[in-house]
Amino acid sequence: MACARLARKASAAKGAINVIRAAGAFALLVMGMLAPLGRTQQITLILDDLTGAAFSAQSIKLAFVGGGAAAIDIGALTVGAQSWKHIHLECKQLALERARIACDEGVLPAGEKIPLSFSYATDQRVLSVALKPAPDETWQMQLRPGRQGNDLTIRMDGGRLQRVAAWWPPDLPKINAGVVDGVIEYEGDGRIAAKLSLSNAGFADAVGLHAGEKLGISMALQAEPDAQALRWRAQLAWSAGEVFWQPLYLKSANQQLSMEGRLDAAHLRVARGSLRYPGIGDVTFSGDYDLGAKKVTGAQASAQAIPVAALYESVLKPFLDGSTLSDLRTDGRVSAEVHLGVDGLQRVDVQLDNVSLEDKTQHRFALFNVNGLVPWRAREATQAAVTVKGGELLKMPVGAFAVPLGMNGMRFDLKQLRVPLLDGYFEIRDFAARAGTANWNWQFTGDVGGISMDKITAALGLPVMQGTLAATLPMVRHIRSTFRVDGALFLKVFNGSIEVKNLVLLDLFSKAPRVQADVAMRNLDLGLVTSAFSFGNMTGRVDARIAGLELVNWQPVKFDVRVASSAGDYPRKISQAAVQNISALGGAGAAAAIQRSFLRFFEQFGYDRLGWSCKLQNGLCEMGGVEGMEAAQGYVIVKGGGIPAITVMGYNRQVSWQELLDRLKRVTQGNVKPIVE
Amino acid sequence: MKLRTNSHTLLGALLGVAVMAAGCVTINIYFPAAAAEKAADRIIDEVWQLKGGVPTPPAPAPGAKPAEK
Amino acid sequence: MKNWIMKTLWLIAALFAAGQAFAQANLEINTPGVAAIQGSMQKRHGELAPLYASGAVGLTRDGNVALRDPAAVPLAQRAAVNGLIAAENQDRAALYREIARANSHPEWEGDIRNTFGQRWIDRAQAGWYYQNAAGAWTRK
Repeated sequence: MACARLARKASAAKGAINVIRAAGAFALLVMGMLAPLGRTQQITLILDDLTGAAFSAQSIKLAFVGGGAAAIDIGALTVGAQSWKHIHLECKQLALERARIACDEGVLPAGEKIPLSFSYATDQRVLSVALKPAPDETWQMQLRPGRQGNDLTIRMDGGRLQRVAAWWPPDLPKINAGVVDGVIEYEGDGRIAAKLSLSNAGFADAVGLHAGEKLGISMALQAEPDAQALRWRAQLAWSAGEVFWQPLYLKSANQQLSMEGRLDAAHLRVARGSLRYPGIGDVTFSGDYDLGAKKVTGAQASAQAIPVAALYESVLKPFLDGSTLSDLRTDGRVSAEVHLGVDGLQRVDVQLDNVSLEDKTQHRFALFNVNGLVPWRAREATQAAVTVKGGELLKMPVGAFAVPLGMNGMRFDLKQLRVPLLDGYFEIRDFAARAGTANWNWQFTGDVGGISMDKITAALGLPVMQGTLAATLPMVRHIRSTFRVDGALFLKVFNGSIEVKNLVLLDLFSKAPRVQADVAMRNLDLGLVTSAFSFGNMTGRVDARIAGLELVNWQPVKFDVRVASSAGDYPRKISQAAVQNISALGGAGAAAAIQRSFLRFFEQFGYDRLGWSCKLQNGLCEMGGVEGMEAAQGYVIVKGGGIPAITVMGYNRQVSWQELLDRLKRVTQGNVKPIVE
Repeated sequence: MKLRTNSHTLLGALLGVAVMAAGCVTINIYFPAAAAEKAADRIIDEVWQLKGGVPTPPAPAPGAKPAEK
Repeated sequence: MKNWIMKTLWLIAALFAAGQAFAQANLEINTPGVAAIQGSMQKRHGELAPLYASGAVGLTRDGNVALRDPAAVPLAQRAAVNGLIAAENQDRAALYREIARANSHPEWEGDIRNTFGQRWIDRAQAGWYYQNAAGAWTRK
C-alpha cells in the first residue's frame, strides 16, 4: 500500500482549512500528528482511497465540525461484490490520538439513523467498524493487515436478513424475514471461510408459488484460490421451517447438503455433491454451470435404493395431483441415475426393486412386485426389461406379465404385451408412443380373448351373462385428447357378435367424456340376453343396429336404434312374463289388461317377428315397431305366429328417455323380487 | 320486377318466403347473449346454491383462514 | 293491394324470424355432461367458498378463479388450494365447452366463457374479490 502524499494549503476564510490528499490509511496517522486542532478551526481531510483486497473506500472526506464532532463522507464503499455510494457519517466525538482514531458514538443516517462506531489502531493498522441498527443487532467489520494484503472479518449478531435483501438476485423470491448470526473471514490471499446460521428466515414471491417460513438453516463455506479459480466446499443443514415450492411442500427434517467444487470466471462446478434426506435417502450429484450462458452444461445424479413410499408421499405426489396416480399406496425401492448434457437429458437408468402401487381409494388398478431395469438413452435404442408379478384392473385379478418396452429417445414401442386377466387375457400389439408438441400421441392394436362372460360381468357388477368374451381391437389412436378407433371393434357375446365402428372417445379423462360410435349387433341369443337382464324369458335371435350413438358422461344423449328378429330358422318363444314386461314399458295399464284377459292362462307364446326402434334426441325417444308393419294407430312390437300366438302393439310414439329407463328399471328389478299379491 | 296480377304477386311472395327461408339456412346464427346469461344464472344458482336460504355453507376448507387485512 | 301483399310478406318473414329467435331463446344445459360438471363444481364450492370470503381466491374476468392473496393460505395448504383452483378452472373450461357442444355450436365456447365470466362476478357475494375491467383485484 502506498505511503502518504501530503500537501498543505491555507485559506483566508474562516481560519485555516487544511486539505490533505492522501492515499492509504496511514494518512490519518500523519494528520493526527501534524494538525493539532484549535477550537475554531474547521479542517477538511480528503483521503482519496482506502483499499484492501475485498474492501475499498474511495473519496473519503473528513470534516471536523468543532467540539470534537466530525462528519465523514465516503464517495464509494465496496465490500465484496457490493458497493455503496455517497455514505455520510456523523460522529459526536472523533478521538484523534497518537495510536488510535476512534468514533464511539457515530450515526449513519441511512434512511433510519443507525448507531455506528469505528476505531483505527494506527500502529497495528487495524480498522474496526461496528453498526448497531437495533439493540439486539450488531454488524461488525474488522480490516487488518494479514500475511498477504489485508484480512477482513465480518461478524453478524442478530443481523436482520432484510438488510442484505438488496444483494439478492431480483429474479428470486424476496427475503421477508429472518436473522443471521455468524462470521465471514476473508484473507488477503483470497481464502474465505464463513459460518452462518439463519433463523426464522422467510421468503416469498408475489404470486405465492414459492415461499418459505420460519426457516432455520446453518451453513459453512470454505474457499481458497487455486490457479485462476476458487476451490470451494459448502455444507448446509436445514433444521427448521417449511417451504412451498409449487407444487412441492417440504418440511425441515434435518436435510443436509454438502458440495465441493471450483468457481472461475466462466463456470461454477460442483465436483461432488450429496444430499441426505432423512427418511428418503441419499442423492449424490455433480454438475457444471455456465455463468455466462446461465445454463447447466452437464450434470449427473444418482440415488440408491430409495423407498418408493416415502418418495411418493413427499416428492412425487404433489406433481401427480389430479391424475389417476394421485392417490396411491406404494411400496418397494427404486434406484436411479440421471445424466444431463448440454442439450438436455442424455440418459436415465431406473432400477425397480419389488415396486408395488395400488389405487388406494377407488381400486381401479394395482401392480404388484414390479422388477427390472429401464435404461433410457436420448439418442440410442434400448430395451427395458420389466416384469410384473400380478395386479388388479377394476378389481379383476391380473396375472404375471413382462413389459418388453423398446425406447429410442422420445419414441416408445411395445411389440407385444399379453396380460392375463381373469381366466383369459388381453393383448396389446404394436404399441407406439411419440411425444407431440403439446402431449403424447400413441396407437396400438390388440385383442381380448378367453374371458368367461360370467366372471367378467360379475366382477364389473353387471348382470351376469353367459359365454366367452372375445374382442378384436383394430388400430386405436390417441391424438390430443381424442381416442379414435380405426376399423371395427369386434366382440363376441350372447352367442352373437357386436361390431363397433367409427368409435371416437373425446376428453376421456374429463368430467364429461363423450363417446361417438355406430354399433351393429348380430344374432344375439335372446335367451341369454333376457336371462342376463332378468327380463322374462324369450327365445330367438335378434339383430340390433345403433346408428349415431352419442354418449356424454356414459349416458346416451343421441342415437337411432333398430332391433329386429334375425333372419333364419330358430325357435321363437316369448314368455308370459316377457310379454307383460314389454307391455309395462308402454305404461302400467297395458300389463294389467293382459292379466285380466284369457292370455294369463298361457306360459309361453309363439311369435313371428320382433321389432322395436327408438330415435333418441333431446331426451325424447321416437318409437316404432317391426319395419313395414306400421298400423294407422300404432306399431307392432311382437308379431304373433304359431299357437298360441300373441301380437304386442305400441301406441305411444314419443316417450321421454328418462321415463323409459325408469320403467325398464322397475320391470327388471320387479322380476328379481318375489311378487306378493 | 313489375307485378301485374294478383297471382303473380302471390307467386312472388311465396318465392320471397322461399328465398328467405333458404337464406336463413345459411345465415350465421349469432351468439344468443341473453339466453347464455339465463343459462349461466341457472348454473350459478346450482353451483353456488343461491336458491333456497343460506347462500354459502361455511364448510371448512384447506387453508381457510380469515383475511388479515 | 300491393301494399297488403308486402305487409303479409313481411309478417311471414317476421314470423319466420321470430321462430328463429324463439329457437335461440334458451340454451340447452340439461345434458348429462353439463350435469356431471355442475355436480363436481357444486361439491367443490363448499371448499372454495371460505377462500372467496377470506380473499385468498378471487374471480377473474375470463370466467376462472385465481389465487389472489397467497399470504391468506398457510404454506402446508398452498398446494391443496392451488390444486383446488386448477381443478375448478378445468371444470369451468369443460363446462363452457360442453354447453357450446350441447348447443351444436362449439365456436360459441369463447362467448359462453365471457358471459359466465361476467355473471360469476355479478352474482358474487359482497366481500368477495374479482378482477375489474382493468384486471385489478376489487372487493365487492
